[in-house]
Amino acid sequence: MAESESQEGNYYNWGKMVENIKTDMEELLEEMEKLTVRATWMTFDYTAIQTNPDLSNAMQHSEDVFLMCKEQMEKKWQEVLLE
Amino acid sequence: MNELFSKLYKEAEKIKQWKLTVETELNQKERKLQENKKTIEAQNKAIQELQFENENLHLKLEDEICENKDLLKEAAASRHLCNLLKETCTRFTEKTSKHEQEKAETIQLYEELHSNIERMTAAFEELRVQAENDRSEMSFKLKEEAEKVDKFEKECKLEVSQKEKQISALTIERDEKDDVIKDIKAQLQTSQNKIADLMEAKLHHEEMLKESQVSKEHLRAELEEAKMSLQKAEVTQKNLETELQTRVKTLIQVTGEKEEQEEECKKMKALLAALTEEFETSVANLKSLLQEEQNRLKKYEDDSKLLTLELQKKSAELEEMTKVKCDKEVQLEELSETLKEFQDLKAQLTSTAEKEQDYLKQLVTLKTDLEQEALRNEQLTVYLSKLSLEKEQTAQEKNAVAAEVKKLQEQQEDSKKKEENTKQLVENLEEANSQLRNELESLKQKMAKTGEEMRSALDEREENMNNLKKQVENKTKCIEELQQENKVLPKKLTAESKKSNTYEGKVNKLQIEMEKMNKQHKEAADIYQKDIETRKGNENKLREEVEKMRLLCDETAMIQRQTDARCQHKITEMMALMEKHKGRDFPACCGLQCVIPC
Repeated sequence: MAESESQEGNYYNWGKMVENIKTDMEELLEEMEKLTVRATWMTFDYTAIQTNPDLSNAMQHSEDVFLMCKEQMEKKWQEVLLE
Repeated sequence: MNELFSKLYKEAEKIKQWKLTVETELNQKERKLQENKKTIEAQNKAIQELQFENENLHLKLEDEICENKDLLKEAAASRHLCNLLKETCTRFTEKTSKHEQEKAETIQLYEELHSNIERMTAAFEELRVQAENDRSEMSFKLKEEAEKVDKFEKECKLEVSQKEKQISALTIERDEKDDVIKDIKAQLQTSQNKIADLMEAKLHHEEMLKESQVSKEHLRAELEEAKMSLQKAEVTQKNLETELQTRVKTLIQVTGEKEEQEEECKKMKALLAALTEEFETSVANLKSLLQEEQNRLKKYEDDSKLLTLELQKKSAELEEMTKVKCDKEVQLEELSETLKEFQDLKAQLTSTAEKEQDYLKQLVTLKTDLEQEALRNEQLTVYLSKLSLEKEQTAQEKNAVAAEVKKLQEQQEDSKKKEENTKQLVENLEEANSQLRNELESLKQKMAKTGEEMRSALDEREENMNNLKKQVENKTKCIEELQQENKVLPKKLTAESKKSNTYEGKVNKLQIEMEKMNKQHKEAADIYQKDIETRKGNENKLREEVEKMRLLCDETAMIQRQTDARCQHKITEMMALMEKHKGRDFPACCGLQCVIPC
């Protein structure tokens, strides 16, 4: 009987523990899901940022325009006079 | 009744039906009772079986309780793991939050960089476009200015050629005028020689006049002596009436001859009057010539006005040119070349100026010569005045001589009257009278000769005077022409010098403007270079920042990869644990199993 009672108490405690574990696991899973979502979002963002060709294109465009402007500015007035 | 029967019938039917139903129900209930009995028996059997099973289950439960204890332990361990997972999750959430912040910051930085880069590109493009536009405009303006400078050079060259031509023509004219001046000088010398000769002739004539006056005085003395002789011979005149008549006749003949001479004198006077008239006509002609020359002067003045107008137009054009040039930019090398050409032109202009100065010197010498000639002309005029005075004196002497001749005639008439009154002349005085009369005749002839000589001399003098007047007039004309030309030449020279000065000033202005423009261009180039350098610095800074950001991104990527690896490891561990839990307790872990695949 004591064993049964202890067993029953343990059973109830175990049940509670199981339930607690269950709830905790559920919560953990939810958190893990959220974290995975956030991680995927972050990966997506990082990839998007790293693979964003806008900056590189803009830099190349600015370099090209700068070079063209430099060429224009470096032209001497004598060439203009010759022209 | 029918209704009642119907109703009774219906109720009877209803009762029958109720009976049937009750009977059926009873049957059913009996069947159910039997079935229930059977079921009870079966259930009793099942209960027995169940009891057996319960005993088995009791055994199993005991086993399971032992397993549950183990499971509890494992659950505690799993709980620890769960706590650790929670901690890791919290850390992960924190890191993710940090990463998100950094991501937001990186996104902002990227946006800023992008915007800056776009601004830079726009600015560079604007600069390029402005540079192109400015360069194109400058090229067009330079081309136009080059064309205008070429045109101006051509015009200047044409003007220089024209001026050179004018200078050559003026030199030719000067040479001609020098020749004319030389001729005039020769004529002056000849006229001077003639004047000297005329002076000598004058002196001779004066001497002759003096001698004639002396002779006249002698004659007067002799006449007085004759009068005395006649007075002395009044007594003897009465015997000589016939001789007196013959003498009277002879006297009449002499008077006739004198009248003829007087007529000749009158004719000569008429001729002189005609000559004076001719002189007057010549004077009128000369006056007309003077008027014509005045008209020519007016024409020249008009030409000079036209030239001044042209000069004004040219000056206006020059002013316009200066305005145009002031508005434009200046060239370097071509203008230097033009400057070199201008220097050459300057040299030419200096040479021409030197030539002009030489010409001016020549003009000054000519002026001195002309002044000397003017002085000589004045002297000639003085001599002419003197000659005119002498002429007047000779005329007066002529008049005096004529008056004296009249007086002699009157005296002769008186002598005639006296002879008529006295009629008694002396035979002894015939020879004396005849001699005296012969002497008188000779003297009269001499007087006539002298008068004729004087007239001829006067005619010659008048002719010479006329020639001299003509020469003087011609000389004055030439002098006036030369003076006008001399007046015009310095003006032209001054105009040309002014033009050269204006050109020099313009050249200097253009040089100054060139220097200013060069300085401005240099300053603009320096400014542009500085801007380029600053922008290069900014670019370098931006590149450094971009590199830094790239490094940060790499680091974040690495961190992310590490976190991903850690998460994967932990996930695998969790999966393993879960699989272990799956294998041990199915019913206890059913909830977990239900949770895990989710």
